[in-house]
Amino acid sequence: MRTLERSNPFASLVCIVCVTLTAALCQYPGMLIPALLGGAAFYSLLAGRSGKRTHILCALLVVVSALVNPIFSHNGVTVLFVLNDRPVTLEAVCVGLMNGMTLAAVIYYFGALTRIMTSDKLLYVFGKVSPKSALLISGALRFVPLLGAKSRRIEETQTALGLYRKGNMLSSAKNKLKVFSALTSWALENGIITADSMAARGYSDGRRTYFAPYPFRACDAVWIAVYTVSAAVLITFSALGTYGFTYYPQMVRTGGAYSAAFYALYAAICFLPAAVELKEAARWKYLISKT
Amino acid sequence: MEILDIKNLSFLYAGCEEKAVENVSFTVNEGEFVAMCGETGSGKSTLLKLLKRELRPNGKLEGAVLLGGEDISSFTPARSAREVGFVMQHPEQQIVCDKVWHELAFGLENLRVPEQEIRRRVAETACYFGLDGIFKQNVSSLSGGQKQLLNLASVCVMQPRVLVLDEPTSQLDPIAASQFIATVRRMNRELSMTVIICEHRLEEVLPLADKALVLKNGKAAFYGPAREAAARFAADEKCDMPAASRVFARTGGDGECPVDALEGKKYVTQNFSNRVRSLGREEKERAAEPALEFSHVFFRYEKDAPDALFGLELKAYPGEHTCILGGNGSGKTTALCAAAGLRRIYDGKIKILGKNIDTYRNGALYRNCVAMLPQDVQTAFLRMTVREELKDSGCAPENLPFDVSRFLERHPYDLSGGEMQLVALAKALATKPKILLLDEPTKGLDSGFKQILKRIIKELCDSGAAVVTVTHDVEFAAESADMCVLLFGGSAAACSDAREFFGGNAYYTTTCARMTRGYFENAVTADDVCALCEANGRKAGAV
Repeated sequence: MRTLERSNPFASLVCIVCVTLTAALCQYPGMLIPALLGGAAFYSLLAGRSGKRTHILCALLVVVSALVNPIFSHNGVTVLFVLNDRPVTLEAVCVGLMNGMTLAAVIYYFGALTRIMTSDKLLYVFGKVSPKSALLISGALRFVPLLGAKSRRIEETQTALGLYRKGNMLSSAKNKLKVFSALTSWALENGIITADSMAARGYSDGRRTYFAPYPFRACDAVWIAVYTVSAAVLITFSALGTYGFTYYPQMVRTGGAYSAAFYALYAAICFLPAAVELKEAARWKYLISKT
Repeated sequence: MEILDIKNLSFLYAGCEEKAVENVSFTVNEGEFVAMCGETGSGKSTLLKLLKRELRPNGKLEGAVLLGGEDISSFTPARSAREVGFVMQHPEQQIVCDKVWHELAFGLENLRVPEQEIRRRVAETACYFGLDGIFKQNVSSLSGGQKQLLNLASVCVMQPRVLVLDEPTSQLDPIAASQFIATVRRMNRELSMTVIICEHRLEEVLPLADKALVLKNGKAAFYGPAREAAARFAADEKCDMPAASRVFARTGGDGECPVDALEGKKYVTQNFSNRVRSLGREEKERAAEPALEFSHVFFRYEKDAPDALFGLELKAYPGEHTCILGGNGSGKTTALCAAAGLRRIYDGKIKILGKNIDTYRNGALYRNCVAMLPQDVQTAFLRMTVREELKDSGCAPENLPFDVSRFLERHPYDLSGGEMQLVALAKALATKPKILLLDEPTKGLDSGFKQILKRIIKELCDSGAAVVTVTHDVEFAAESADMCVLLFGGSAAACSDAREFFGGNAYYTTTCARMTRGYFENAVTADDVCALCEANGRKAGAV
């Protein structure tokens, strides 16, 4: 199987949405722990050292959420201690912990998604749905950095001409306003030329195709099938109460004898992306060691 | 075979009295390379736009443009988009998408070409234009030259029959410009692409052209072989003909007019002796103290980035025009920004009028002291009219050393490149600077504006100010600079008197210096060469 990064963008998007959606809907400890671990592993493999700040953020989120939830929620039967005449319960702490873990898992998976889905891949997904809006977004993505650079250049020029002094708040607000109005004129001017260039290359209101260098292969279909089916099964049976977990008033595992199978299925789809990533990395090492 | 037939074409802009293009007729054969020339406002751009239906401006059109015998007005939209390719002046503004591959595919997407076909055409075009290395990059990470090449490629991916280029290299540095022209030339030769190109600088384009069209006030003053155009219009300053042709015309040459350095050299060596090898030099007295001094300056943009300025030593004296030359990324603009206090150096010292730059506080640096104009002069303007713009800076239009009355009420963005440069310069001069820093002031300017610019710089220097110009334009530097500095890798590789500088350089120099290298010494401008030719006199028996 190819890694999600090298799959069709649709496959990457569907897989990650399925995993996070299931985690958000079924907040059971048996689901969240593999979601968090699988997400963290996948993200670390993609981000490497640059992911350090995300790890810190996620750890903080889990801790803070576990500490804050009991302040607002006093449900639960197991009182740990009493603070300001209010009981702090084990159940509330655990719910906070689980909420934190859900958020952290979502952050990891979406962190991985943003690393995989560069703007052009995201546009490809949009483009299949609506070629027009994809073009609009592509244009906007190109324009935003241009606008920023222009605004910096204007400020520098005005400074070098002695017209832009760092002074009191009022005058600098006035300056910013002037720069902003110049920027708008520039953007309009720029837009007219770009529109000319578009027209010159045959752009009109009619239909257009959308080209992207991402073929759809059998492997992508496998990814999508495995993840959508698994997510559907997990969510449906959770709604039916075949397996589950309640936190209030007391933490109890609900559901029947097959619960373990569902948890195992979810763990599998959580760890699969990271596992494939590892397998590819191992294959490289193996190839290099052979030559 | 005739591919383009322009018949009695006239154009009147809506709301204007005078026709921008008047009764122009010419025919272009398939595979011909046509250079179009004429001063700013001669109707070049308008005429080119009339050749592309989608770009025709608002106004009244008479006459017809026939492509392959059919009027382009009768084409279907898809055919019209496909058959005439148009590349504009500014590389940045023509780009629509954020990725290189997407930009290449844009035109084909519009024509609803099937995906598989797009894939093939985009791939082969990217290869032909050498864009395969940057295929997946963001457009914003490209250099100006790469952007313009991308614009050309994204037009050519639609396989046009005629390629129309409106001053495509005016915003590029000379190396990128040569590369661009070479690519156009290659397409012309290899694919027999018909090319119509308009340029201010004909130095490079005219020798390649089969035919030239000279426009004057919207009328075709000449249409015929390029060499003939060079011979007829070389004496006309405003036409910006190649240096070799200008020397030929001014020395009263007879016979075939030279258009490039090689032919120019032949002409000079065959017709003139070289008893007098160099011109006498007038020594200018130099001030004791430099106005601007860099000693051992280091700067980098980010902690881990390489040094942009690497131990730079530089002196600019009052009363002198110092030109900083060098390739892209050699640190020219960075040095200028550092001198204007816009970049903080991490080692070394910058002295402004004898005082460390750090001792100027609260904008004191910009009061009667330093003023800088960046490459993008548009950033100097924040108002709706030129009049307000000048009022903001506190300068009276009537006291300016040049005439701005024609465009006082216009929006600054509507001015031509040259006019914009003049208004921005007026704003800089209003601070009465003792040190004026200019970044690429001649970019996109025709020779008329260059003359005005040279005059202003000269007057400023005569009044005791120091002018420091960063430029790629060697011809301008040779004609106007007192001192020239070559930056390389963030430090000064050479620094000498302008004539010596260009006379000594073998590659980075003017056409005239190349033309007379080894025959005359330090003859770097057309004026120098003509003066030397005159001093030596014609060889006996020469034509």
